Amino acid sequence: MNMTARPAPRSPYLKASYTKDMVIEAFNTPFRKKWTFVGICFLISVPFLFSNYIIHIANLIAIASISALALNMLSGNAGLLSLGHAGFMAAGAFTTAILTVRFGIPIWIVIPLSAIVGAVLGFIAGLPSLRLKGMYLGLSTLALHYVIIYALSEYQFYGGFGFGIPIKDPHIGPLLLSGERTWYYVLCILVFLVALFIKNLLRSRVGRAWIAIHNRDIAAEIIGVNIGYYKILAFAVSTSITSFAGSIYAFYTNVATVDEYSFSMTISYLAMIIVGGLGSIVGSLMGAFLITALPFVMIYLVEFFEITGAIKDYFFAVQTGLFGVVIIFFLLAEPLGLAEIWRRIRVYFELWPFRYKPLSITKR
Amino acid sequence: MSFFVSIIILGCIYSLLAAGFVVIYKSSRVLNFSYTSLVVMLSYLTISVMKLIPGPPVLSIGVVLILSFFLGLLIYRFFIRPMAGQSVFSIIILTVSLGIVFDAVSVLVWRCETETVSLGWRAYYSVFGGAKVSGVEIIIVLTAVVFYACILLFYKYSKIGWQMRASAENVLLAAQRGINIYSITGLSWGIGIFATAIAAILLGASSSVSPQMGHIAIKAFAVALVGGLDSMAGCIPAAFIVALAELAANTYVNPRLADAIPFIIMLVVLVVRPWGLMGTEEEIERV
Repeated sequence: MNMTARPAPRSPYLKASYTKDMVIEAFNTPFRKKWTFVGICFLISVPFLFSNYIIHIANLIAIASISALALNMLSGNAGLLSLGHAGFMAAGAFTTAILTVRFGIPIWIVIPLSAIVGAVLGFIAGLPSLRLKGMYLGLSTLALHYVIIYALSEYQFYGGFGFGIPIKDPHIGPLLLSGERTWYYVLCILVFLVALFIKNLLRSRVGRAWIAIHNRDIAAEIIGVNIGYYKILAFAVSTSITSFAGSIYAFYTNVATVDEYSFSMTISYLAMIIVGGLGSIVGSLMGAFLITALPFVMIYLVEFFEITGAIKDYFFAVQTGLFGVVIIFFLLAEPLGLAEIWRRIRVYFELWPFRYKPLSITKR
Repeated sequence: MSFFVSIIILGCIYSLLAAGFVVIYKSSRVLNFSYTSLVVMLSYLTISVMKLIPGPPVLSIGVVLILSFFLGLLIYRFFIRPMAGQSVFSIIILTVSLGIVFDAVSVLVWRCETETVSLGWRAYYSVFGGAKVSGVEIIIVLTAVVFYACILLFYKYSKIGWQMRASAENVLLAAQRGINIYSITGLSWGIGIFATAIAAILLGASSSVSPQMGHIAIKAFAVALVGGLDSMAGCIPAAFIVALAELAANTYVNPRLADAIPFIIMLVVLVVRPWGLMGTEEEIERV
């Protein structure tokens, strides 16, 4: 009897080598390739199928996705809490506004400069993280948010821009970036690039270092991760992407105003990453989609069912309150978010006729 | 002189605001970010209860304080306790989202109109050569003194106060010695929200009840942090430092800086001395 030694059966969910860990899951099987292709075709065809209003919502979702990806990288992967997200976005938006309106600098230089300003602010925000963790870090970023908003409101006040700084539509070469449909394609490409950039960071040394710090910082230090460097790096990268998103947002809405970047904006971004799933790229995208689309869906429902009275008059309050309820529900019932539900559904169908349980993610 | 008097009054308001915060942090290690919304909601509740119950305001204030105590117990039981063992991040987000739910409640139920809590003492008095003090402000100073005396003595001498300090210092050891840490922590949430209600009523009486109250209440974070998040006594000097800085900025620079200066102080304290004036140094996990 010639028994060739068969390797022990392994769970497909265990990643035993770096090469396996570095596979981008969206493209690794023919089935997924096919569906990714279908998805891309759908995204390309969106402007031909829907009205301007829907495309405007899609653009807002895209900008929110960029920003949520940055926040999720910082809070979900590196485990550093930031409550100053709106402040960093405001910094990007105002850098853009000041450089474009006052100095007339073209978009090519403005956007990188905004990202650099974001990175510098992130460096400052990251400094306390060398000494602080958890709650204290949340407080220091919250304080930074108020300081940034103070500085910007001083500028807006003394510059005489009562309702915000108006920005003209930017030119990229011969292309004038205006109108929802043009922006839609630009934003889709940007979301793809940012997601790919973050995915690449996460599946390389930097990302592994962040996850190590998140899981157990002392152990990470012992295995040779330079904690201070990587924490500050996480802040700088995340806030520069956030500022970039703020800059894009200012160009898209043609205005930069302090009032928009309030603390409730930070809350809605936190809602996105929690509802979507902490530490997951698909999660950030799903969360951004759900939380950005929710108010518009509610407006639609209110008009469709012709609801009047308190709910319509105080629509904003109902909407933010609903955010709160949704976040609380997810925190208590499904702390890993939509991404985890999505993963469970996927695994169920992958294993369909069989019923053995796959390895589950341990709760953090 | 009137500058001095207003520092004392603002300091007393801040110390009361910070108290509710510190009591909760001390025992459950949860930073209650729903604090500002609670202040707004509880002061609207006070106005409703005052309209509902005729007679002297003391009666309806008592009712509000008892209600807020039970609100604290409920928040702990249904939202904070199930989160035990979750990361700090999740708990912070939970309190933030509780806050936005409270905000929505105060808009939907009370429509967020500007109103005033009237304590039925409208007289003005001149003290210290020309400075004007209203009856409400005298009540604020007295309440702050009495409240701090009570809570410090409570922590120092009563049995429950001992148990609270023990479980704040080391939860595991306290539980091992037979202290029921769940009820102790729940009780401190009750006391915390009770203190919040006191601050909310006085803030509503001294200025006006509106969503703008949140902007004043949020400075309690700065006060609590400057004093040390786990130190009741630290709140008192911290409140006066923050009040002094704020009023000085308001007088000599502009009101926008006055709104930002508590947070600037807070950033400086976080970088230089994160455990605050009187907090415990080992408190902060370092890497």
